[in-house]
Amino acid sequence: MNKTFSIYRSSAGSGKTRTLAKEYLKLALRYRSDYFKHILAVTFTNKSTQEMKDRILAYLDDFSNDRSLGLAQELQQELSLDALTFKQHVQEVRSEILHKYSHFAISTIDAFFQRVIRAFTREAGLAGDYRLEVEQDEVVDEVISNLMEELGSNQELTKLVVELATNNLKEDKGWDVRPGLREFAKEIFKEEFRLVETGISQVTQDPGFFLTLKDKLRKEKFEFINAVRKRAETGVKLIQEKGLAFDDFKYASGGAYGFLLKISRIKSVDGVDDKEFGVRPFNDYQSSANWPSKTTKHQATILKLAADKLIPLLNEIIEIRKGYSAAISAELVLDNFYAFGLIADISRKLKDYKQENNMMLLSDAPYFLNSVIGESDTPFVYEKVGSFYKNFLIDEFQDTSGLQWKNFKPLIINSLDSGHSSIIVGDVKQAIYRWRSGDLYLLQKGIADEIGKHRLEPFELKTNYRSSKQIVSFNNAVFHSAAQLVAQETGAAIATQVYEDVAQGIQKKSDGFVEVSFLKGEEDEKWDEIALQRIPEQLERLQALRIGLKDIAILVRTNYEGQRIVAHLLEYKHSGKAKDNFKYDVVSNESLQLDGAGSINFLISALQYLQNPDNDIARAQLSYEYARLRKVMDDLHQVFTVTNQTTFESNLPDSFTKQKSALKKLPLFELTETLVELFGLGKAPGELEYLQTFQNEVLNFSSRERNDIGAFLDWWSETGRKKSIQVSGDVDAAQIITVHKSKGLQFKYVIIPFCSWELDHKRGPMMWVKSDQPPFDKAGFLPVNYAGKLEESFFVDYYKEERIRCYLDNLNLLYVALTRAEHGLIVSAPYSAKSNNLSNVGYLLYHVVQQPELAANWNGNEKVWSSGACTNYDEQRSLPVASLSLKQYAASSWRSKLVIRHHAAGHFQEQESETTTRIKYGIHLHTILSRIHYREELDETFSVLQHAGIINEQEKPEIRELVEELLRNETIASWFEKEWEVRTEVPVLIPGGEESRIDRLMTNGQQAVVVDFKTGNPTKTDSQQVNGYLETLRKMNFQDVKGYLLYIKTGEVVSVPSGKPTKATKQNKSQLGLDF
Amino acid sequence: MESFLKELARKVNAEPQFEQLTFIFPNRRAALYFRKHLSEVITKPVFAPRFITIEDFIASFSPYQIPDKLELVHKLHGIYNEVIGVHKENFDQFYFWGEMLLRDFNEIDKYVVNAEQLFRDLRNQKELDTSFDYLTEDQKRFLLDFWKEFEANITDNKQQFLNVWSKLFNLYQTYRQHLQQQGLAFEGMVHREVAENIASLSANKYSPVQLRFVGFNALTKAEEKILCHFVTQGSQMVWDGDEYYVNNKAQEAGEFFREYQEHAVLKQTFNQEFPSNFRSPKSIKVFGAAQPIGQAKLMGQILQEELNKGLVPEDTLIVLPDEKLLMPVLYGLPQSIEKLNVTMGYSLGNTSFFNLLELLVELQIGKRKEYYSHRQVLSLLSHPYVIAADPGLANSKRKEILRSNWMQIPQGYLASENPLHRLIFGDLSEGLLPYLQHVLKEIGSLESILDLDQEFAFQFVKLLNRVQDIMGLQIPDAADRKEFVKSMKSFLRLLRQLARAEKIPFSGEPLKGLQIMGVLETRNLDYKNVFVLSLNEGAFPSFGGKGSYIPFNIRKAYALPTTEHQDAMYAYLFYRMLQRGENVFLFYNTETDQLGQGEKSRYLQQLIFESGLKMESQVLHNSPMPLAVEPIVIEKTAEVQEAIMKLNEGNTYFKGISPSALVAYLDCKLRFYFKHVARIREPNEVEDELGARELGNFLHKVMEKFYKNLTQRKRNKLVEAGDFTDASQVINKLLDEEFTATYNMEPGKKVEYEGQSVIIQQLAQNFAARILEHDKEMAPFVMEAVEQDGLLHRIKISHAPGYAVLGGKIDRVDRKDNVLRIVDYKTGSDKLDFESVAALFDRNSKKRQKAVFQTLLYAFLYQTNFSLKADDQMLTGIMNREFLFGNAGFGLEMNKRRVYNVLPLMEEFSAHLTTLLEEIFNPEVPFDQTTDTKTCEFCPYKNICYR
Ligand code: SF4
Repeated sequence: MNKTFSIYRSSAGSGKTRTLAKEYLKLALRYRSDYFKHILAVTFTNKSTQEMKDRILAYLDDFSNDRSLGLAQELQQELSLDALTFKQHVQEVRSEILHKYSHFAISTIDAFFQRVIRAFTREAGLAGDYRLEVEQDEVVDEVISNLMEELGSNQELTKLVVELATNNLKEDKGWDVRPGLREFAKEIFKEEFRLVETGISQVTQDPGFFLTLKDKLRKEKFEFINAVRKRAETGVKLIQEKGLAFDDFKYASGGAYGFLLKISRIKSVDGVDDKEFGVRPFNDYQSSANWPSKTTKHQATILKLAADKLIPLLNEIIEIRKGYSAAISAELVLDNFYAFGLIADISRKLKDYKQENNMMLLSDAPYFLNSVIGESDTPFVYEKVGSFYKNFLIDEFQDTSGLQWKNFKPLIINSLDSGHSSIIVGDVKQAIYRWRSGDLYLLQKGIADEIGKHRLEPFELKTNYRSSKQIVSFNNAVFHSAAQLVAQETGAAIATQVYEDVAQGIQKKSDGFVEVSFLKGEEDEKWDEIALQRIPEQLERLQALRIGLKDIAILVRTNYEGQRIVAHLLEYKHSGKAKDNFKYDVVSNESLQLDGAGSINFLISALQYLQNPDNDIARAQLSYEYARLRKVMDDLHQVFTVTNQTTFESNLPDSFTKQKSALKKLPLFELTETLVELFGLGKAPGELEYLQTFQNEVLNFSSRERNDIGAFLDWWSETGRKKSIQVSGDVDAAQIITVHKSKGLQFKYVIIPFCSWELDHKRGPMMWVKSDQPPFDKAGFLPVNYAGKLEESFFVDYYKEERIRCYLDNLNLLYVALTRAEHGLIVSAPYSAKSNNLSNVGYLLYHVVQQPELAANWNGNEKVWSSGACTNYDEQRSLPVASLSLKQYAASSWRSKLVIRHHAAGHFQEQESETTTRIKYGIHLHTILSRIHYREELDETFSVLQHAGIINEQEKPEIRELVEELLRNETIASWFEKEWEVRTEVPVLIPGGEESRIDRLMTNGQQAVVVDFKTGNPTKTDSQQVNGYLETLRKMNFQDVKGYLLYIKTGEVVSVPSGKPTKATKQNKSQLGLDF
Repeated sequence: MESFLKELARKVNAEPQFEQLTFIFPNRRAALYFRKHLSEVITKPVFAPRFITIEDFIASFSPYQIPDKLELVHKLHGIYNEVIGVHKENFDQFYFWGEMLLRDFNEIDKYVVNAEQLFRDLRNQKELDTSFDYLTEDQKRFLLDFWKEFEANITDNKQQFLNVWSKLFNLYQTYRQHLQQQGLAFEGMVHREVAENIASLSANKYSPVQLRFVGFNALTKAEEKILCHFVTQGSQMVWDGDEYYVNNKAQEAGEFFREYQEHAVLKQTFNQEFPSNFRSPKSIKVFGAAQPIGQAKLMGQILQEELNKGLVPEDTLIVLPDEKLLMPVLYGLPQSIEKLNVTMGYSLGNTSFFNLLELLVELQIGKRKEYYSHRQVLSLLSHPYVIAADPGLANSKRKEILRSNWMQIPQGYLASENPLHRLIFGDLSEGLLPYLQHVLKEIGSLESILDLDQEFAFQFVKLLNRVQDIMGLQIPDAADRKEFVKSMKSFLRLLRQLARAEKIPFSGEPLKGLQIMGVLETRNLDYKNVFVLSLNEGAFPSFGGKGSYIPFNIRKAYALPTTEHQDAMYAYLFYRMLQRGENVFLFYNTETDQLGQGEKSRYLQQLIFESGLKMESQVLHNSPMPLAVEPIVIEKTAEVQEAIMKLNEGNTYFKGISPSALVAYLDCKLRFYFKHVARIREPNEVEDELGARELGNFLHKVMEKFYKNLTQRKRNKLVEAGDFTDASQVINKLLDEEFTATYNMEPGKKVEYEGQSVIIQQLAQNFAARILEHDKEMAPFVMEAVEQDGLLHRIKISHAPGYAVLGGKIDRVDRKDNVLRIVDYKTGSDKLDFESVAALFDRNSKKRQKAVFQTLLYAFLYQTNFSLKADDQMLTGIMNREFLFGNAGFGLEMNKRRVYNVLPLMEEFSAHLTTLLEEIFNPEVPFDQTTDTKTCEFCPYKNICYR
């Protein structure tokens, strides 16, 4: 059988995107026309989606214009086409794609899944226009708050929560249960939880089982603690009764007395873990001779006490300690146990919340889809979605989760079964999204079993096209050793297996450099401070070589690091140290938070102030920001004197203080725009980007949530303030980017200032564990926090596995970081004097660079590893794309410019003082009268108006009566007689681009009668207007023209004499409308 | 370039008796422009020819009325529940689905499809019988392909699909009959009816030779039939196209024209070559910018530049495919634009009224007995319209609620004085809809309300009228809370859907000023300058339809429109709006949405890659560089010093310098300045998230009351073991009283704890009970002071004014024998071990224990205010968690040693204290910011400091 499923293992820089694009083009060009509709390419990020699309279009354009010849030739050969035919195919496919663009199916997994789900909303019982929510944290907050609201009315819940609170109180944890619950609730969105979910809710839904287990665990834990403590306390008491002190014992406070004292006070089981316990109790202290110190005066007392009482006590403790595993397991489980017990309640609330708000969480999608796609429904799925895929190209496969794969699998199998080919591309070494449930084992080995070996053809992309020789050889050597070290450290071979293929061929012709400096903290300066201070120097150094800032990336591990760098560079730039001809501008997607900009804080405090005028802090900030903006900061005390209303307002412009109440009437977005205008906030060029982003957030908020200052401010303080400005990569500034985000990207020069992340978890994640030891055996999966103390628990296997994976994650992260650079790589890392310390990647690197393969470039004195010379390797300085900038953030009110047609006028008038119903309904009467031709049409007209929502059932009889009343007037009634040819709302065109509209025109041969209905009080212009109509009619050759005015309020009819023609025709502006 | 309509007007004017003609346009706007052009070329007044939209034209042949969507979906809901409903579905849940079904039915009829066949279950059909003969072989294949899938295995999804599918024809039929009986119809029904009987219906109604169909492109089958009927009778068609896309088969924009050119009847109407305007020289500029705001503001800037170069607003069109850009664009327009006209809907959901209605419904949902919840009340009291009614009143109520921290607010308190307030906080006696309408009408008639607001209010009144008439909404009695809440929530969901979908027409002075339009509104209009925004997939072209229940293949089989159809339509609109333009400005959003969708529009790609037109491309970028953060330093100017002096006054406002003020000063000088000198207080907020502060407050209050009551009752200060019988009941009672007082509940009523207050109550109770247990063990003892206030002490300093006044309040002082204890109650976990007295004053010390500092300061104050006996000892400490629930003893621990008497420390303490106070009053030492940013983490002023 033909192998139709290809796996490309692609190490960093090996031309993966090109490979994918080529595969895509090959399929599209081979089958031509609109075959591309049947190819689904799945990318990992939105950005790569866009890139892939652009790349494919660009290639097609290139081919048809005789560029990118290398690739064109490869394709020509593989497709066995001559140049001319090839070009024809290219043009055809390009045109097909451009015009059937909706079928250009390159998307992220999430986007693809959403498309499928949308097609199944009905079957899935979702409301059709459900909202997709990405921000889980906000949802969690709401859910927990909603849960808390049930306290008091839901007895069982109340009991549990109160117990949890009291428990927290006693155990010296925060008594407020909400933060803990929130943390915990986040777990239930993870794939790990989904996999064990069904079993869990059964356990927690049975309160009896839950409570019994809880009691058992507590018993296990506290019996252990108390037993230890009781004996230790007895010992301590015996010692103290004799008046002995630390000095009387060998090892002083670290001796036997200290030991007993310490464990007499333990509060938790792990108080007696290995570290505390050590080895002395087992050997040293077994002999009483080892108890007293040499200098003590109480030698004899101690010897006797030890032999008679203390050593037996100690042995009792040792005996008890044999139950450590059970006790620590109980303790670990208890840590999350209450929250665990609340899972069912939390899930219930979550469900309610989602339903009430008609939303779906992004993380629900794969899970949900699983139920849709099932195992065998593929064609039906396509049917519903409206696309039929034959070929799948999946990128970054190492980051695909088990569940996601499960969803793809039936589709792929289906296509393979029909003889179509598919490919996946990935690199296990670059698997860094396990926290988003990425499962590298899938690519490493799982996929082969799932698809079947017989259909599978592996390829390796072995050459590095990205980086210079120095960088590639450095990485080849580093990761070869690093993987081995990690494997040793974790006792698992997986690291070496994953890095088996790390050695890459070198392709790049030009040279480059690598420079890794190892730093050590001094007394008052930590190593990272030094690293931080080096950044501006490094930027200067590169710029001195005429390397543009836009070619430099600074890779960080966390956003916090990014913020530090931004702050430091800002400070540096404003300090005397900054050099004249250098720039220190940086951009980062994450690090430039909105609340770092004055104009934004200005707006926020203005909103806060409008919302609550007594908010002193808002006043202070408003006053301060305004001073800052205008640079009048000489008297800060005056600025901060805000509790005095007069002083405070004198600091602000009148236009604001006078209009406060009017401002509040504006919808949120309009309010902020107006504030920008009033305070001239849009004039600080450096803050425009922030204002833009902020206003987008406001706009989004008000269309998504609600138009309410209070709600917005709440959202702001929770979420909004942390939003950051997005900056495109094409600007003249160095880019700060997290290692995670940098995956798939490349930069000419890379600085990694803090190469120091831990290999193990700093703070453990939660894990779902199981044990067949009683009492856990019946409980199924339970949540425990990852921590070293698991090592002696029943759950040790989970711990070990997690540790192995965690080390691998962090090693992979290092791989991604070190493989981004094209020409130059500059790294700062800490080192440890202790030789066997591998706790972070810096230490790991420190080890590695001293290995024989790398030692040649190692400078032990300076602690620098370097290779190649730091020079500008770039052929030419690349220019930023054509860009333009906003000169200011313009905001000006528009309401006065817009003339809108009022439908409302009259509906709300004089309602309070209304005297007659006729006034109240004047507008309706006008509408009715000007619609009907003849009396008989009344019924229909009423029904039309009612359907338009203009009048309602209750009003109808009243209004009807009013109409009838008018029609009892003879003159009026005569208008609605059949003898007339009637036109209503008659437009008459008048030369010069104008027209007038006559309410009612009755004609009979050369005779014409005009009627104008008025809802208001009579005015002088009324008859002028009618005269104008009459004049126009005469011009249109009517001989006998007559006019009437009907004042609806009073029912009065005024006849307009066909007197002398008045001045020019006056058009009736307000009625020049859309109805005709 | 002359516009299409102007060209047409010129031609029409040349015809004799053109006022007899009837023009049928795709939309009203085109007619309006045409009329204007016509009046520009005539020489004397004439009755305007008749203008009518195609919808009205078709409807004019039919006796049926077409109700609005709400009514149609509502009626469908009723029938659906009868015909299909396995379990009854609420209207709000059904709404979306109902809309979809209605859309499908509409399409079936507009495309004159045999519904019975379409909805047939063809699972076991290998071949189609003769009744399907009108389908082409391809179409038949689509059908069989689809149904083949159902032969093999019926999965759940398929089963569910079939369950509904098999009943749809019945639904379709019953629904139509039901409507017909009432003289109603949905649009498709009318179209079909008219199309099928056009020959008989049209007799004598119009004179076909006087009909002109102008500017059509994608016709439905029904429209096609109707038009063909008239064309054969001599009506004329005027097409608005361009050779660029008509003559190039790859261009989907020309697809319909090409189809009609081959059409048996319609082909005769193509008697002229299409003009070649699109390729005529024009300037095209493409701009990328981030998000709506970026595009809108950039557009404003470009427009300004063009105005400077002489652009005429009347010749200029701004197209907004995404309605969301409307406000940003309006605000971004150059000042010099004096008039503008907006022709697009503005969603009711975006108005403040919608927000108000939501709040009102939520207010009613949150109502318990006669109390409203502070959440909605506060929002309402600061809602613009509510303020507009009476700003003073709203504000004073809001203040009072905040000050007293009321969580539940009695209805009576709110529903007074102002008529609007009376309505809002009054009873729902007439039902929900009248309630909402009364409020709307009241607001609509306020004097201070803007025209536009009034317009919005009117639209809502209309909407609610419809809901009332159609659904006769029944809200269950509030007594049945569960049902009540359920149906209110369901109403709210419906309201949301309706309000978002309801667009207010911003129809103004249509022919004047700058024109802003949606995409559909541009049909047949041409401008010299064309700005198009949101050129992104999903906006322009918009995402393919809103979904259909009819599967893709079946749609294909019956020639129902698919996404391709829509794509072609949009493509036509795009190229058409550009074809006669001279200066074209295209804007796109450079950022995709959260799912990576909304990339640069295909039209841009098409222009770039294949049009051969010259284009300039630019991307908006501003270098971010926020104002530098400067350190804040407050020099002690004369005014500042004056403010500091106030601290020394012992009156109701200033009670000396408190221990916590000193702690603040040690934490951060600037914080001290903010809080105690500038007196910038933290705002009052009703904490519905009850927190640590409340727990502490309740505990203090309860302990105070307990001992005050006790000593009062006993008339002496001796506390004995016997005093603690019933202690826990007493505590509970005191707690109830405290809650009642704090939350403004009715005294004497049973307190029901709900939400977080359950926990607060429990914990306060736990704390108090433990304290009393301890006290009982210690009894007998003397309770010297409870919440001792007014302890002042003057300390001499060298700076002006020569002294500093300290003041403070001590939670409790008790005495057993000669040991006095100064006691602080705390619910947190403050530490009581410290290194030395000096360390307590050392800013940089990591172990500067604030709690210890405070207790020692109390001791100092007590000692200086009361004379002690010679052998008295003083112990200070905190009753906190460690003490009450852990195993800590009472008292401090200095340098690891328990402090049994603090009096010997006092001298050193006082010396440090003096130095500290000297510094505070020293004019040379400014108030500056702490260097330890950890201190800032929970500082209320951290936003000001950018920490
Ligand atoms: S934020 Fe920091 S520096 Fe500013 S006042 Fe508060 S503690 Fe002081």
